[in-house]
Amino acid sequence: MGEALLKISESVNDGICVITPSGDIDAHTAPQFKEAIEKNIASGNIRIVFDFSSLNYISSAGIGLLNAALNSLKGKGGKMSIACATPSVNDTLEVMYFTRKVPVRKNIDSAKKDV
Amino acid sequence: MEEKVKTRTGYVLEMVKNIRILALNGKNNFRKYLFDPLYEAGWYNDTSRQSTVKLIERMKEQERDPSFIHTIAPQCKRLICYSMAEGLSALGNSSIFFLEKIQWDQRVSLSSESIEFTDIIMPPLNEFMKMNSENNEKLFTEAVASAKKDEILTAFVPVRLSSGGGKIKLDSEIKRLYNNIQIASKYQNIPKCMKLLSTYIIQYSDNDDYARGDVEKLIDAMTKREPGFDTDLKNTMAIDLYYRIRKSVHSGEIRTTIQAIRKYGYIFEGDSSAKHFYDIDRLERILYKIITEKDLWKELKKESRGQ
Repeated sequence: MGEALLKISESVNDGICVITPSGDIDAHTAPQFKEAIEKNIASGNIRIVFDFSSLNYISSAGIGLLNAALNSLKGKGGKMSIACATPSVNDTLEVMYFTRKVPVRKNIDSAKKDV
Repeated sequence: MEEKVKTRTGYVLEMVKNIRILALNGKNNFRKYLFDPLYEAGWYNDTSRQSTVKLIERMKEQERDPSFIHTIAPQCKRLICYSMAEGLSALGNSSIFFLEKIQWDQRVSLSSESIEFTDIIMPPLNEFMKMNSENNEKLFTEAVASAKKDEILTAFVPVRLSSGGGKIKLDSEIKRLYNNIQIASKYQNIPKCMKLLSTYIIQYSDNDDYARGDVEKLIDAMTKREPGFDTDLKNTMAIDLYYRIRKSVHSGEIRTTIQAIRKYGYIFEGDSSAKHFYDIDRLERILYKIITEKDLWKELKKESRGQ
C-alpha cells in the first residue's frame, strides 16, 4: 500500500471559500489538508464549502480535521458545508456521525446556501 | 538530569502498556524482552524468603508515611530482583508496580534505580513493540475479515445522549469531573487529575453533547498550574487508546477496536503529532477495505441512523 497523494485547490467567490481536495485524506496527507483549512480561516474565510467530488478516501484523521474546522468556524461565527461527496467518502462521513453535524449536499450551489 | 527524567516519564505509561501486551504474547517473548535484559544487567536475586505479593503489600502500607518516599525506588529494585526468581508473572507485576510509582511521583522517577530500570527495559520493549506492530496488522485483518456481520455493525452504533436522561447524565458527569478534579488538585494529585480527565474524554468525546468547552477550560487551568500537563494528557490518551486497540485485536474483540479507532479520530482531530497516529491510520484503512469487500456500508449507515 503506497502513500496517499492529495492535491488541494481553493477558490473564493462572493465571500465563500470552496476547498477541493483530490485524492486521499489519511494520516499522511492530513497535515496538508489541515494547513489549507487553517490558512483560509486565518485569512478570514469563515464561510467554507468542501467540494469532495474528487476525494477517494477519508480516514478518521480527516474527519477529525473537519470536526476541528467546524469548532473553529463556530467560534468565529462562520459556517461550513460539504458538497458532492463520492459514495465511499459519504459512507465514511455518515458512519462516523459527521453528517449529523454538517449535511452533505448534492451540488456546490446547495452547499453554498448552507453557509 | 531533571529535564532528562521529566522527558523519560512521558514514556512510563507506554512501558506499562507494553509489558501488558508482552504478557499476552507468550512466555518466550516475556523472557526474551523483559526477563533476559534484567538478568544480563545483574538484577536477578534468589535470596528472598517473602513472596512479591507480600513485599508489595508491605510497601503499600509504608508509602502512606511520607518519610518513606526516598526508600520506594531502592525497595522496588529489590522487589524486581526477587520477583525474577519467583516467576515471570511476579516479574511482570513488580515491573508494573515500579513503573506506576515512577509515573506518579517525580521524587521516585528522579532516583538512580528508576533511571537504571527504565534504561534496561525500554530498548527491548521498543524492539518487541516494533516487531509486534506488523503482526498486529495481520491479526487485525484476520479478525475483521472473520468477524460476524452483526459484530461489525453494532460497533458503529453511536451512544445517543442528546435526549432526555442521556443529556442529564452527561451534564452531571461533567459536574462530577469538575468536583473530583478540584479535590485532586487541592491535594496536588496531578496524576489523578490526568486520569480523571483522560477517562472522561475517552468515554464521551464522540458523543453529540460532549462538553468540549468545559473540558478545554479544565485542561487550560491544569496546564497553567502544571506546565506540560496538556501534552502529557494527550500522550496518556493516545497510549490508552492504542493499547485498547492492540489488546482488542489480540483477543478478537472487533467492536472495541472499531470504537477505539473512532474515539482516537475525534479526540486527536488529525493531529499528526499524536502518538501512534500512523499505526492507527493503517488499521483504519484495512477496516474500511474489509467493510467494502463485505458490502456492509449500507447496513452500517442504517445502524448509525438508528434504523
